[in-house]
This record gives sequence, C-alpha cells and structure tokens, in this order.
Amino acid sequence: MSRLAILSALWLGLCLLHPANAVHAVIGTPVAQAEMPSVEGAKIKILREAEINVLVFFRPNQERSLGALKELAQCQKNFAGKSVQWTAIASASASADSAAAPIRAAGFAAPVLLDNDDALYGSLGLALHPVVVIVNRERKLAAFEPFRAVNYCEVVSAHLRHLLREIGDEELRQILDPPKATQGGEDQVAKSYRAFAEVLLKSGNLEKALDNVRKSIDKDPKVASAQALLGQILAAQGNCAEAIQAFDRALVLDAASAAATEGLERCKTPR
Amino acid sequence: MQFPSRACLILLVSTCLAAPTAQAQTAAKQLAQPAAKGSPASAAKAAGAVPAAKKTASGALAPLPVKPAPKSSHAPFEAGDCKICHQSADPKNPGPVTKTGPALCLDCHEEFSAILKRPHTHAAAKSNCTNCHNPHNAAFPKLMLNETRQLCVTCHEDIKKLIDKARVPHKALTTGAQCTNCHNPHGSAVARLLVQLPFDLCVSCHNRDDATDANGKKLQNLKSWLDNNKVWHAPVAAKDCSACHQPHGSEHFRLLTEDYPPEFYAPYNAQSYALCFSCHQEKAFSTAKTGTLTSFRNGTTNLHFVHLQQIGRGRTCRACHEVHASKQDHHIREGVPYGSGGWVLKLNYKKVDGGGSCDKTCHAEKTYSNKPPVKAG
Repeated sequence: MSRLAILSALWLGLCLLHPANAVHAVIGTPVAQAEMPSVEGAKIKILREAEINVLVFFRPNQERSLGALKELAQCQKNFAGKSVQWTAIASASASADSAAAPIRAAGFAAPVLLDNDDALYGSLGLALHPVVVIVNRERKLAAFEPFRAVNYCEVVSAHLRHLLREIGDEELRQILDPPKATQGGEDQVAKSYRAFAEVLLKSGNLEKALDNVRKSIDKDPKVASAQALLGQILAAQGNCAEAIQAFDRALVLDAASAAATEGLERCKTPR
Repeated sequence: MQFPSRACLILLVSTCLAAPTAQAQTAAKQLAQPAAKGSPASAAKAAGAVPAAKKTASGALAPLPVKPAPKSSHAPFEAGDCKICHQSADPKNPGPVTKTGPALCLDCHEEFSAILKRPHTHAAAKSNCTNCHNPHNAAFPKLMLNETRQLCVTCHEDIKKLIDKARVPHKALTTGAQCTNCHNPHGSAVARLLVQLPFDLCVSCHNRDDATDANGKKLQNLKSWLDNNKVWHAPVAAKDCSACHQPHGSEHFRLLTEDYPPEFYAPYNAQSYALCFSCHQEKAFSTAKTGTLTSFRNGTTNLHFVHLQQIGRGRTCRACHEVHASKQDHHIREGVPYGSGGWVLKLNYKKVDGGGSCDKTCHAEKTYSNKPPVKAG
C-alpha cells in the first residue's frame, strides 16, 4: 500500500466518522489501520493484534512528555503478559534519534513510530502532547487521556483494566473520581475512644474504661461494638441491669454482635 | 526509619511519666532544657537521631511542662497509666513501649489501619507516628510536634524553597489547616497525598464571588463559571488544575506554572506562551501552512498563525479563548472586554461542520473551511 493510499484511507476513515472541528475524535470512532516508519526504519502497523492498543503521542524534548513516559513506563509493568500493545508515536518532523532518546531514557518499552505530516495526530483531532489514545479490540477509540500532573498512571491503568474487564464501571468511576481522603471526624474519634476503653478493660481499669467508652458513645452512639463494650464494662462492675440495656442497644445496631450476645447470656444466667 | 524505634525508645524509657503529677512535671521541665551531655536527648543524638533533631526545638517526645498549658494531650497519658503503652506502669521507670512503629498506635486508632493501606501513603506515617506526633502531649493541636506547615517543611525542603521564593503566594498555605487543607498526611487515593483531585480541592474554596488573591485582587468564582460554561478545557475536565497552576506559590500571576501573556495584543514570542506550549505544540502556531496541526485553518492556511503572527498586533490566546471553560466549542469566548468602560466586543463565532466563522467582531465576517479540497475530475 502506498503512503498516499494509507494517508487517504486514514483521512477518509477518520474525517467521515468524527466532526472535523471536535477537540478530539469522539469515543467510539474507528481508528483505521495504517503503517508507519519506525525510528529503526522498519514499517510497522500502528494497531497490532491485541485486546488493547495504547498509542502514546509524545514530543521529544518536551518536559511533560518525558514525565509522562517515565510514569507510563512504570505503568506498563502492571500489564506485563496481558494483551496490551504499547506504541509510542512522535511527529516525523523529529529526527529518529531525537524521538528514540526519550523512550530509552524513560525505559518505556514500545516501538517508536514517526507520524508523517502528523497525519494520524491530525486525523484523531489531537491538539496537545503528551496524550494516550486507547484503542479497543474492535479498533475503536476507547479512551483519550491527555497528560495529568496527578494520578496519570492510575487513570490510564484504570481504563486498561476496565477494557480487560478486570474492574467494573463503578471501580473505574471511583478511580477517575476518587473519594475524599477523610481523616478524623466524630466517628473515627469515637472508634479511638472505644478501642482505648477496650485496652483499659483488659488492664482491669474499669472506671477509666467506662469513662472512655462513654466518650465514644457520646461522639457516635451508633457504633455497635462500643455499646457492646459498655455492656461488658458494666457487667464487669457487676451492674448487669444497665449492661443488659447496653447489650440490647448493640444488638439493635448489629444483630450479629457476638460480644453483645455472649454478654447478654452471661448477665441473664443466674450465678 | 531508624530513629523512632531506637531513639524514641531511649527517650520514652527515660522520660515517660505516667500522669501530669508533680514528679512528672519536674522531670518534664528538666527535659525541656537544652540537652546536656550524657542526657537522654544527647544520647539520642549520638544514636544518629537526625530526624528527631529536625522535629522539634527540644528534639524530644517527652511530656511538656505544665506551663504554658499544652494544647493537646493524649488520652492514655491523661489516664496516667504508663502500662497502656509501656511495659511497666511505674511512672519513674515505664520501660520500653510494648510495640514498635505505628502498631502500638493502631491498637486504639484502628481507622488508621485502613488509611495506611490507601494507594498513596506518607512514608513518615508508615514508619512511625512519632515522626509528627508527641505521644504524650503537645503545644499544638492533634499532638503535633510543631505548627503544621513548619512541621511539613522540616522534611519537604523543596516545598519550603518554593514557598519562600514565590512572588505570588497562595493563601491556602497560610490559612485554616494550612498544608492539610489539601493534603492528608497519612494516606489518600490521590497522588501527592491530596485529599481529593486538585479540581475538587480548588473549587471547594474558589466558589465565592468575594474571594481575593493574596494581593487583594478579586478572583473568579470558578464554580459558578464552570457551572455556566459547559465546554471545559482538558485539564479542567481531567480535574487537574495543577497542570497549569502551582498551588504552593509561583513566580507567575495567578499561580501559573509558566509564562502566559497577560496582554490582548503582543508580538509573537514562543517563550511568553510557555504555559500553553507545555501541552500544545508550538509549531501549530508558527507554521503558516498545515493540513493537520490545527483545525483552525482555511484549507491549509493556518489561522492560528495568521492571528498570532501579525506584526505589531499579534493576538494572544486570551483574545479568542477562555482558559477554563466556555459556552462554545474550542474554548472560544463569547466576547472580549473593549476599552475601559466595560464594554464587551462580541466575537460572534459560529461553528459549522468542517469550519466556522466570526462576524462583526475585530473584523468583518470571515469564514473558514478545514475540509480537504475536493479534487476536480
């Protein structure tokens, strides 16, 4: 196939299937197969036989490309042995040596192809570097991830794992939009007081154990284990009347609470 | 980490006092003095306890003197039972702690077991809680060894340098919880221990009409702007404000990471667009003819080149584009401020399949088509 024919096929395939003035080709756009020269001078197909083809568009001598390639090199290791093919693509306006150098420096394991006249780059509607273009088994654009300063590997990996069906939609969503990393909060303070009360109970310091488990319950009365612990401490003090109430509250919150069930039986068993 | 397991042990064995008794306070006062040769503190130093020396002025994890009253105190210390953490209940000789590293703390602070298993964790937290906390009491909230920012920059010297040299400071570093406004010092699902993705953090403050920068200049209500303009710039859509902004302080206005021309007209100079060119390729703006580098072209005439490269009146990015979000594709802004009276000159951009037009704006109507020419025959 002549170079002109390849470019024409690419142009036709991609221009027809996505609006020319979209920021980038829309997800689901077929990506036409084509050959490109590698930095070693061989002709290599851009899409190889695999579940996923990852096309990494980069610019030599661009700080963000170097950073992304280093991060993606680490990322690649998580997909060793899996049906994922990685390909690095630079503009053919760069020399073969300058395109190969950052790939070597980053330890990124992939053939490096040179995009003549930025034909593939332009046909995908790309407007920046670095960018990862993920193509699925059906050879359609599955994801497009421009460089991120934060969580780049996580995000790219999540897309790949989703396509490999290792994670579901919800897990993908959680990675793309992670939950707030909370700390502290009344429920956690409550847990700390409860745990401390347990330590005090074990050491036989019943008065302080009671004081701390009550602090825990003040902070969060809906922790079943704290209510059960309150029952245990009260029972240890010989106050089964109040202990039973605490065990009952624990069982309302968690019917499977073994500590509450055992404590309740012990209190109800005549000595 | 070498220090906490060895030097802390030395310090704790020698200095931990069960309760704030008179005896305890006397001992604590002694420990608050500069370490004398042969003292526990100097023994710790001799043991190679460099990180400890960085942690506090006294370099000790001992209980603080009664006056001034400590700001926070640990419940087990308040309970006066050394045996909760130490091998002996004897305040004068409590012996070593019963477990090393964070394990002892996790017995009670069980929620941190899960936090320390998050994808990104703080090495200091994983190695020993006492890297940042005094297990007895402290002059700072949450048993911290120092004021939050001071404590963080003790190790994060690169951030300290960045903060110190910043011409444009970020108020988030000096108000509220300081570093922990944005970072979770224990663990997070987000890299760099960010509490959330940068966008979520930024918008949680930049959501007011009356916000000002450190120099008192009004700042955009970003949340409202983004809510009303649904075409988001890729880094915004990726929730990655840090692609363009340096949150710890910057040399450039608006905490930008690189140069970005603040003017409407400016002679073309690639360096002044360093921010944009950190992602977008310069040749898309400096190549007169192209069929691939930009869709803003008429045939192969690169219209970015035409706009930017005009001698004397080169347009800058802001002349046509909104940086965060816009109502129109390609981040084209609706209008530009014209003159000092607050009048807005509409761009009247219209997008059509394979091109677009601008009308009654800086110039009379001009259209462009980026479709490949149909060959005759």
